[in-house]
Amino acid sequence: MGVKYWHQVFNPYSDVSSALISSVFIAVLTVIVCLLVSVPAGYALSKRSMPFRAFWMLLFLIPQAFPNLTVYINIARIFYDFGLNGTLLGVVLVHSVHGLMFSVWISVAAFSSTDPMLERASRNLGAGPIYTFFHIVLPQAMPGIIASCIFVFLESLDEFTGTFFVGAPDITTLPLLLYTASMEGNYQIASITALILLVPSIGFMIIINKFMKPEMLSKLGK
Amino acid sequence: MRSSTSYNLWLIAPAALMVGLFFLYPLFFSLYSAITTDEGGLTLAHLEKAFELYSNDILFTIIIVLASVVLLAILSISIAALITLSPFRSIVSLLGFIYRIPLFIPFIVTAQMMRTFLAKNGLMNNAFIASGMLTPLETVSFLGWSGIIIVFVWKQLAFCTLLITGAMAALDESQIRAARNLGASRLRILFQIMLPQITPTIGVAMILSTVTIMSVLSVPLMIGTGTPTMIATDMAFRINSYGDYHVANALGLVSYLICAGLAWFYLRQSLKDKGAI
Amino acid sequence: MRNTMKHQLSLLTLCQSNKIRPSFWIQCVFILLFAFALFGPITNLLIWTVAETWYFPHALPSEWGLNIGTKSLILTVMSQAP
Repeated sequence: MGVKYWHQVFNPYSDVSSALISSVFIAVLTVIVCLLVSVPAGYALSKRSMPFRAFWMLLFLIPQAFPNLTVYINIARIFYDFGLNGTLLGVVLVHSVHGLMFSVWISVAAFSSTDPMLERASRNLGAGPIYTFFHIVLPQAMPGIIASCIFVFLESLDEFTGTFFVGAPDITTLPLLLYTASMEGNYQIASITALILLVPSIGFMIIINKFMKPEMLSKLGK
Repeated sequence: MRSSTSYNLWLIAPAALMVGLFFLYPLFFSLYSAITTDEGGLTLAHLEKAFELYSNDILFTIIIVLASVVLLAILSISIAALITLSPFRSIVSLLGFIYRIPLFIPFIVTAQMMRTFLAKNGLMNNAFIASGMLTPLETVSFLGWSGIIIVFVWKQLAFCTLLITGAMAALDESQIRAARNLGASRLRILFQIMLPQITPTIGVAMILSTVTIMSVLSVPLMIGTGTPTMIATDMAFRINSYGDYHVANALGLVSYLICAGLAWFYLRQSLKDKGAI
Repeated sequence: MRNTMKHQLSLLTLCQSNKIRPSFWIQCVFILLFAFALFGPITNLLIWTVAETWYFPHALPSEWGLNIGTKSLILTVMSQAP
């Protein structure tokens, strides 16, 4: 009883453990992909002089403004032609597009709050643009970028529809396992999986509860 | 200056390319597929077939969306109003904390919770039996249309309330204080001063909720039993059983139209309020 | 005379306190219902993670423990083994 059985739940050969491992692996890769594309984009868009700035910002909002079920169906069809269906890369790409809105918008806000005088001073002292970016600008924007990483990580961890069409049946993440177990009437496993998904979500909510004041939210996007 | 602009464009390019390739392209592809034949000619046959087979489900989806949105509006406005206006600060601060709990709970977890909670032997019916309000024979399962609405309202309420509370907190406080000093009741302040000013926020919250409701596949699959069902389920069925992308995309087009219809209604309403029409 | 005044005064305070009370209790009931609706499903999920057997007329699981979930986990693994 007790410890022995929980040990077996987290045995790497059980369904829950393997789904947990692939879920976390996919989520980490998704965060990396989002970081790689959204940090440069966020930096460029934080400059007010950027031409068509509003257009670019809206472009990254679009994935949240349409019901994305239809899009996932068609991504799966397109990915099928390229052999990406049922692969890790396919699932990571789908999750990244979904998370991109959060990472780009939060990165823009993070880079906008950095001090442009420090950047100019560094350039005037003879530092190159890349050195200045990594040593002066990026450290100032770090808190926002970390917040965007957490958002993207959670979104990827909880994503069901995209994985259902692109990943199944070869890739099993926690939400897919939960769904299968629940449809088979295996409520114990479904509930244990749900609990595993619930813990990071609630934990994150408690952490950001301090920052998540409704008054702050009303200023977002202005 | 010109070189720095093109330099900035290169920085955006990867992210923009990703959205274009993996979102916009499939989006246009779905629209194209919904109204063309395999040979590329324009046709309405897929839409007709979708309506023929699934008109009940389309109606059902619209009813579910409208019912959820109306319930969401009523509940989120009441909670936000309580938080902002109630004189009993201690119980309200408790409310202000607990309403946010579902904010980060995934839809699939909510669906699993409700699947067991609303079932015939779920905790809800058991609580009613234990309190003597029902006998075991009178219990009914809420899985079905009412369950779907309950899940959507339960999950989206936190998001809507957060937006609306934010809008209420951003209102000019002196106006409300003046109204109070003139002896206006709290209910009257809510309806005559606060609500007219925050209608845009309520509209945005409801439209975003509609888009979310139309996107979620796990809830109708896990909570909806039998027919009619939501069109999300039909789309998954068309793909998984027949590989029929045309009809699935036609249903997708219908789901865009439902969202667009609601957005249009909201925009018209807000323009009307400003006296533009 | 004094008695009636006292009576009227106490009636007045009662009225005033009544003015507060109903809305206070209505709000309390509202929050209580809201909390039930919010925590009910979460509690149900938590009970299911430690339930062994739970079927219709039982209000709570008839057997508690961590075994069945883990056992069926191991079984699915074994059935999938080559």
